Parts: sequence; structure tokens; C-alpha cells
Amino acid sequence: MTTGGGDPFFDAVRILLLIEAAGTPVPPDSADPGRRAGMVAVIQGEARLQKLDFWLRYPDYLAYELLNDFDESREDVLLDLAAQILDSEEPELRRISMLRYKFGAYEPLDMAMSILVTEGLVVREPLLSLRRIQRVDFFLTEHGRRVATSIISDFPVLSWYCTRSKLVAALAYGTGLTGTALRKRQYLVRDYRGTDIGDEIGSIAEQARGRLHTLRAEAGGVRP
Amino acid sequence: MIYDTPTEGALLDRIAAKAKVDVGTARAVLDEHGISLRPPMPADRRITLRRFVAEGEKFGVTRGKNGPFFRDIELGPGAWAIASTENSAGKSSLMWALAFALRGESDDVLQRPECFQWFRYIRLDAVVSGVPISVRLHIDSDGNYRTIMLTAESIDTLAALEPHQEEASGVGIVDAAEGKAAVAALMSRFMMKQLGLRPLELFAENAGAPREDGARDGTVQSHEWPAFFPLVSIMSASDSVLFGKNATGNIPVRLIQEFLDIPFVSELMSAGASSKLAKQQARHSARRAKEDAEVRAGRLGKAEEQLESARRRLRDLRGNVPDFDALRTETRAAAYAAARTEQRLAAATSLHAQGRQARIDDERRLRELSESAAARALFGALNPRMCPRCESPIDKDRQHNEHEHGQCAVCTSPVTVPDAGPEDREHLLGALRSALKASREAEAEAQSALDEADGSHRRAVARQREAQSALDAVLLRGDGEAQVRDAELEVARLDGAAQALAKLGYSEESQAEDVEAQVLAAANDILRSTARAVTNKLFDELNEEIVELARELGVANLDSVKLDTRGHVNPRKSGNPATFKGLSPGERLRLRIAIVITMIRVGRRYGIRSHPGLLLIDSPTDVEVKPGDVKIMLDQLVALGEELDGLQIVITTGHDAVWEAFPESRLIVGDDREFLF
Repeated sequence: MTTGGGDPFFDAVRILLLIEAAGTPVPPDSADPGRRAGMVAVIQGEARLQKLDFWLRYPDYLAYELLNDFDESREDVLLDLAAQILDSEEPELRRISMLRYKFGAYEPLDMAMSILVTEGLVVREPLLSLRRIQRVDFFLTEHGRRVATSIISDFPVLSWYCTRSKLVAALAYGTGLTGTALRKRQYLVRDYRGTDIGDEIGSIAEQARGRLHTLRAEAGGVRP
Repeated sequence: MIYDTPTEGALLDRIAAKAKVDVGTARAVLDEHGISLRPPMPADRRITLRRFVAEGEKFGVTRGKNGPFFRDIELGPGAWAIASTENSAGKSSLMWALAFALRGESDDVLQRPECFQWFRYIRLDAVVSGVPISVRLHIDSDGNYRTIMLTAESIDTLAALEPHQEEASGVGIVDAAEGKAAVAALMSRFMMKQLGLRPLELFAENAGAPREDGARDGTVQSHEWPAFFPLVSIMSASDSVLFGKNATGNIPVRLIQEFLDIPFVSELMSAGASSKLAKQQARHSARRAKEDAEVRAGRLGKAEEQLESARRRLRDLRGNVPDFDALRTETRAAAYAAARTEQRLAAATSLHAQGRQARIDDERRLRELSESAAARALFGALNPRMCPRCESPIDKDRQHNEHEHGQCAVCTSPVTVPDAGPEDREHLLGALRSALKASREAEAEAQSALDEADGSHRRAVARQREAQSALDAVLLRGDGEAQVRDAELEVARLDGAAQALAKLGYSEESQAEDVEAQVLAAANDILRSTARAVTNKLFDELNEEIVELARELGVANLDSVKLDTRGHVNPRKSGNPATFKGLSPGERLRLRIAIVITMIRVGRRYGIRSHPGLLLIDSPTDVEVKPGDVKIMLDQLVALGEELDGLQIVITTGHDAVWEAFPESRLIVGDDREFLF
């Protein structure tokens, strides 16, 4: 369930596209080499998936992170990407609100995940430890990849998520793909951290735009 | 009052009016210059000679005898003749001695070279307006002389004194003097006072003085007794002047007027002279002032320059003095306007934000619905493959049953048509698109309003800044009003300085001198016209009698004379106009005698004795050509002496007619009618 009372089918599509974009190659199971046949990519742990989803749902936070990277690396492409987001109304139009939980942004993915599992697009694999589920990994099936790939051509209205998922994945790869690393990074943003547990995480669009303005000025004027 | 003249008050009023001053000022000026507007009381002037003594030593003559001489002559009213059959018999010398004693100084016309060498003692006993005097002149061999004047109760007492006796019972010394000037002053003082004569004052220009404003500098000369003498001692010396040696200051007419008791004669002369002197002083003051002014011109010019500069500064300051109230009002108004536009802008911003939010909400809803529809369409096309609970594969039978029999492949429940089917969704999407279109339009409108409000606000803020800057600038410049006040004070100070410097050129002193000159000139004019009116009236009366007497004295073919106030006689002879100068010397002398005698006669008619009644006529017959005429004249003179009470005439003549004309008792002669001494 999304906080806005969103559609689980839409949530399922978004998660599918995110796993397709951010999933890493499936490591072979030495004990049972045939068990993971037909699985093409994996995201290990729900926390990681949750954090990636957060960037997808909050374009202003994403842009802010891009500005942070630009601050460190001075790669113009990062500033341009941030500017594309902040100069548009994406932060207002595309934001899909999340609540803050104990460890940050979180939303139960059970419903969406059930849909993906039922349709044979994703396979869940809990990692048990002393009869307790320590972690759940999400495997993308071949069928899932085909469906994900077809979305761009068959449903152009959803193609934005394909593109944006790739950007989120690129950012995540740049900072290390562990959930803890991502979470730490997200906590760097004051407004996110300042949000009370259980409250909807608010927009930092204006803050991000202000910072963009400053950085642009430092970089020698407004970029096209 | 003998003559009809204006009253003192009326004269003063006229003078003040003419001089354009108040009566008090006019009176003060006239008083200061001793000019009285009160007509003098009629004078009673009489001189009667009683005894004449001449003593000395005659020498150096080839005819007659040399050696000491002494003549003691008794005189009285009537005509007397000092006569001789000889020329150079001492007639004129005796007349000179007589006139010397009477006049107080030697008369150049009568003086002969030997006079001071021969005469050592002259005594003249006379009665002057009732006062008996005996004048004793002592002359030394160098020509220096002294005088002593004696008086007594009666002329008889004096006349009874021995020739040189000075002391006697009832005889006193009036005065004594030594030296030419002192002797003259003594006699003049006595005669002026006794005859009630006032000095004739004349302004005489200095010959060498430069001309300034049409006048030369000069001095006021006071003419006393000797100046009056020509009307007593009638001489044939001058060709053209009626009486005296020259006509300066119209003296001949003044003498006639004075001896006719014409009012204000000496006053108008004083006024005239004083006026000229005052004008001269005024002129000098003006010149000094001008020179001073030139010296000051530098300072004044500087002050005026500074004044002009200060005035310019004041004008500039006044022109630039800021209107604080206006500026403050403007600034307040601009701030108020900016506040109002700010409110409008805030409202417009708020409206726009609401509009934008509404549009964003609509757009999000449309997006969500579109994406949801797409997602459902995607999944609707898929077949379930796993159990969402246990993830076991769903077999083909179940999938077949769901397609064929509407039985869920997962849980075998009957599949129902969803509430919100594709058609409903399309309807909903349409509605959302419409809503979005409307909200976009609303936002655009809000944007326009916002832009307009923003523009207005920017302009208002700019205006406010301008107004505030203007006010700040003025406040920064300091106190403009104080600067204007200071500049005003500076202008006033310099203006005062410039005026003070300029005024120095017109000092009160010179103004006072101007006033003085004006009053005196006015007095001169008024008194002159008053005197002229009386004079003309009297002259009219005199003219006919003068002509008649002149004819009797032997002036042939004289039709008329017309005395005027310029001293002209204007005679007409044989029907033609003639000039006094054009008359023969004998005619001129006769005319002079006729004028004086007529004056005496007319005066007597008015009951006044303004002429002293003594006539000394030296050699009236010397100038004659026709012997018959001389006899006529001498007869007339003798007759006049008898006719007019108190008239005493003393003539000198060498003409034979005298022996017939004058009785023996009235002849003053020498031995054998030859040399007088």
C-alpha cells in the first residue's frame, strides 16, 4: 500500500522496473547450480530496495544527492542532471510520498511483491538464520526482464520510471550498493532526518533549488 | 512805514517756500547771517560842516609863495565855493584835505602829489546826525598820520576851541587812532553808526581762481563808509559809472537805494554775498566729498562686489532650499504605495501558489490514474503463474478454468468484474483532463495577475527608494534653512556697509550748506524783488524831476531819463536814445548832481532825511566849454543851498562865473582871489 492510497499494480510495475535497473547479476549457487536457472538479476535485502524506491519517489532528494556528488567530483553531468530535475516540476508532480520509519523511509512492499511473484516476474528468496528470516533477496526472472523491457514500448506513460530507475541505480552504484551505505547517505539530508517517525517525509525541493542556484553561480553562471 | 512793503512774516514765508525749507530753518539761516526782514526805521542823516582848519608848509612852487600856511574857514548851510582866479592855487588840495578828514582816508581822485608833503594838520568840525565832532588829523613829514576825534555838547563849544586845542571843559575824546588803517576804521565806524548805515557786502571773485560750476572762488567784501562817499563827494572822474569808481555789485544803484531808504538793500546784498559764499562752501564740500568718494570708491566697489556675490548666493540657496515637508510626504506616500503593492503581490503570490498547487494536484491525479491504468492493463494481460502465498506454480487446468469458467486460477473463487472497469476509468481520465485544463488556465491567470502585481510592486519600491534617497540626500546636506538665514544676514550686513559708504558722499554738512545757500539765494531773490518794486516806484517819481533839474543845471536838449535798477540812466536827447557814457563830462556831472539833489528833495517830501545833505563837488566847471552854462549851474547850486533846508554844498572852481554867482560870504578865497595858501 502506498501512503497516497496508491494502486498496488502501479507499485508492482515501479518495483519491477527498479529491480530490472538496479539488480546485480545472480551469483551461482554452488550447492544447487540449477536452482537459480531462469533468474537474471537480484537485489539483496528489502532495505536496499526500499531506499532505492525512496530516490525514485522523491526527485528532490535525488537531485540533492546529485548536487552532493557534484560538490565532490565537480562532474558537470551531475549538475546538469540535478538541474533537469529541479528546473522542472518533477519534485512536485512526481513525488510519491513515503512515511519515515525507524530506519528511514519505508513502505511495505508485500502487495506489490505478491503481484510480481504471482505473475512469475520476480522470485523471493528468504535467507534464514536460526529459523528467523535474516534477509529477503529479490530475483528478477527472464520473464520479468522481458515484461520490464516491453513496458517502454507498450506503455509509454510508464517509461519515465524506466529512465529514472536507471539514474537511481547509477547513483546507488556510485556510493556503494549496501543498504546501510544508502541509508547513511539519505540521513545526511537534514529534512529527512528531522522528520518524525511515522510522519510523511516532506519535500526539500526549494532547499535543493537554492543549492542548485548557489552551485551554478559558483560554476560560472546559469547553465543551459 | 514810508514805503509799502510786505510784513516780516510774509517775507519769511515766501523765502522759506522758495528755498523749499520750513520757516524755522529759513529764520535760523537768516539770523545766522544777520539778515533782518524788518524794514529799518527811517534814518535821519545829516552832515553839516562848521569849521575847517588846514595847516602846513608849502614849498617847491614857482608861482605863489613858499612857506608855512594856515587856513581857518568857517562853514555853514548853503552853497560854498573854494574859488581862485589862478590855476594850481590849492583849491583841490583844500578839497582833498576836507574830504580826507571827513572820509578817514585820502581820496585818490582828489589827492595831488604834494598833498602829504605840504599838509601837517587838518581839523574839521562838523555835526553828524546831531553829534558834534571835531576831527584832528596830524600828518608827519613821512606821510604817516594819526587822528583824534573830539566831541562836546554843542558844535559851538567845539568850534570855539583854538585851532590845536584838544582839551576844554565839556570837550571829550571820542576816539583816537594812528596809522592809515586804524584812522580809516575809526572814521568809518563812527560815520556808519551815526548815519545809520549798514555795510554793503559784496562777493568778490578772486581774479586768478579757477572757474568751477560757472563760478570762481572769492570772498565777501564789506564796504563801509568810503563806499558811500561818492554820493557825498560828486566827482567827474568816471566816464560811465553813475557814482563811484566802478559798478561792481551794482553799487551805484545800491547807494541810491540806501540813500533813498529803500528797504532791505543791505539785507539783499548780504543775502546775495552770503548766498554766493554758501554756494562756494557747498561747492568746496561737494568737491571734498567727491574726492573722498573717489578714495572710498575702491572700498565701496569692493563692498558692492561682495554684496552682489552674497545676493547671488542667497538667491541660489533660496532656489535650492529643499521642501522637507514635501519630500517627507512623498517618501511616506511612496512607502505606503509600496506596502499596498506588497500586500497585493502577497495576495497574488498566494493565489498563484494555490492555483499552481491545484494544477499540480490535478496533474498528479491524472498521472496516478494514467499510470495505474497502464499498470492494470499490463497485469491484466498476464496469466498468474505462482501462488502469491507459497509461490508454487499454478497448473494449466486452473488457468484454463479461469479463462473458461471464470474461476480464479489462484484461489478458485469466481472472478467478478471489477467495480471500476476500463470504461469508468476512461471517463474518470476525461474528467481529470478537463479539470487539469481548467486548473492550468486558472494558474495562467494567477500568473498574469502575479506578474502584474510584481511589476507594480517593483515600480512602487523603486519610487520609494528614489523618494527616500532624495530625502536622505537633503538631510545629509545639512540645515538648508539655517544656511539661508546666514546668507540673509550676510546680505543685510554688506548692504548696510555699502549704503554707509555711499552715503559718506552726501554728508549732512554739505546738505546743510546746500540748505543755507538755498535760503540765502531765496532771500536774495525775494528781497531784491521787494526792493526793486519800491525802487522802481521811486525811480518813476525821480525821473521827471531829475530831467527838470538837469535842464536847469544846463543839460541841453535832455528829453528824459529813466533810472533803472541796473544803474542805467537811459537818457534821451533831442528825441533820440543816448547813453550816460555818450554824454559830455559836464552833462554827466550835472546829471549826477541832479540825481542827488532830486533824491534829497523826494526824500524830504516823504519826510525822511536819508541823504546827509552834504555835497562836495570838485571843479564842476573845469569840464565846461560854454561859459554861460557854468553860470546857470552855479546859480542853481546857490539857489538850491538856500532852498533846501540843511543842504550844504562845497564846490571848487576856477571859473570866473563864480564871482557873480556866489555871494562874497560864501566864497573861500586867498589873497587877491589868487593863491588860497
